[in-house]
Amino acid sequence: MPYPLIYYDSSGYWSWAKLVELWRFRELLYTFFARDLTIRYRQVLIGVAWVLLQPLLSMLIFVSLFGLLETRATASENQYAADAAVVFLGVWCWQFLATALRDGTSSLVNYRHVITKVYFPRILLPIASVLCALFDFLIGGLVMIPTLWVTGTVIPWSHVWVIPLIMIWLVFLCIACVAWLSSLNATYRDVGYALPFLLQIGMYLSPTVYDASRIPARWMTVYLSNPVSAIITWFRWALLGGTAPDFLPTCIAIGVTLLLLLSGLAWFEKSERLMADRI
Amino acid sequence: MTDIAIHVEKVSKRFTIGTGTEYARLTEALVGKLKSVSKSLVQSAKRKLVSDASNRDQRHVGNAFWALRDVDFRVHCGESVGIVGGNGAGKSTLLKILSRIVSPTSGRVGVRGRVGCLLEVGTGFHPELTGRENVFLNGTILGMSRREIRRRFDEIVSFAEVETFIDTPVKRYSNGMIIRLGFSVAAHFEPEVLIIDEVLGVGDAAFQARSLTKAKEFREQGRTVLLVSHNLQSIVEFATRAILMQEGRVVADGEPTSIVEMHLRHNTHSNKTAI
Repeated sequence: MPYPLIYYDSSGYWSWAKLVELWRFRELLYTFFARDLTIRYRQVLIGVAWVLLQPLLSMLIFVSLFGLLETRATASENQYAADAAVVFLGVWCWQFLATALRDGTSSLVNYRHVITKVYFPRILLPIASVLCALFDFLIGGLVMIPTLWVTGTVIPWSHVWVIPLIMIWLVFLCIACVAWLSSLNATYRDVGYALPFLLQIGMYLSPTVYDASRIPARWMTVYLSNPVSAIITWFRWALLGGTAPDFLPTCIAIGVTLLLLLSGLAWFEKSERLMADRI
Repeated sequence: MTDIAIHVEKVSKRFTIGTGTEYARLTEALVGKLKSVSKSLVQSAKRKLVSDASNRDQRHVGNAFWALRDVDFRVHCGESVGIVGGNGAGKSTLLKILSRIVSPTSGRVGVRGRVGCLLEVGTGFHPELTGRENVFLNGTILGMSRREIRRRFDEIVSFAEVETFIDTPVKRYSNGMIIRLGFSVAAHFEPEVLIIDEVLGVGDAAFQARSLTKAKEFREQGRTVLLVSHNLQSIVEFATRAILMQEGRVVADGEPTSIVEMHLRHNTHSNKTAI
């Protein structure tokens, strides 16, 4: 007999067996990812154009808005161009987070007709949503290069090495959030209703459309302890230069991310057992 | 005898029924939690209720309902077992626990190898995707590897008789084509343990006949099959052993003919008392 007798009971903890199982189901993760992508990019031209246009349009709107509101003495064309690059980077990162959270949160509920019929590790669904958003994020990155060129940014090449690390951080932050949100949404539907509002608040609390340097210095540590703020600020440091965020708030932000991730996975694991009963 | 394929060990499953507001909204759940904290004075009384709820002698305790109570049996590799019992005896819950869709409240189940479920065909079909994409999606959801699907792809398609439409989105398929394709994928999956719930697959006689044929093929290959059916004739014909369930418990386990007889006798008896 090539197969061992494997026991399942009501306890649900992350264990070695769970990781082995996730590895066994890796093809399903790919299938979910491919499914989401195919559906989204069925009309390829519109799909890609939309992903590219979104950060560009938001950038134009916010830069013109700030231009109208602000009467800076030093305001010059160069200033606006620099603002544009800052806003673009912020909006680009935020869009990834927002798309991942929105799609990830509804991923389980949208698939409840399958969840109540077949077993597979449920965490694959929200993770596939995050990967799908990551794909959009990388495509959006293609517009970044011409944008930086147009805005006359001098890329600080010695900083660029940090980008892959920040991306990994961002992906794990998204997985942490959707682990919480999707499983909560499976039991409590109002999470899905509250999410757009929360995302809007989050967007203004994080330096998406403005530079973090506008925050008063005494609030800086608290402000940058928000992982999203830290990630976007690091991104700007890597591509636009300027001063790097401090060590302490970065450590706190990483700690917050890890805490969210571990607690999120534990919570997901716990609610996974009752998911088919309640969803 | 041979190795154990399925081991159900003292499995119980409790459902909480109809208090309405429960679990509906996060805000309500949080308010509920606050209320229960403020009511901490009466908590000792509450604790008593909880201990009552874990009492399985009665099936309904408060708003707790025991769908399964201390179910315990083993199935050896290559056996085909029929499960009989009236409505609400816990058959479908048992199958759902075996296929890991829901987990037991207490006890544990052991299964050797992959479990295949013919509960409903075409699970996860997406209308925007083509037939080909849906075969891969549905197949991997059921538990097949992509390589396995590629190897058997032509067979799956020709069995479903949808060759010319395989690259057309499924939303343009007729209902019959969707069902054929879904069944074909499920029928080409070769799990170590096959579970068939004909009770859920009601309405389609052709589907029931086909799933029984599939189950027979499986039995010939020496795989383990679990069959739930209201059609007692098919259990007698098909199973090598039968289990009778009543009120969430296993009440008898043995040779199919005598188990079915016992089930019928119990039914007429309970009908008489009802009259």
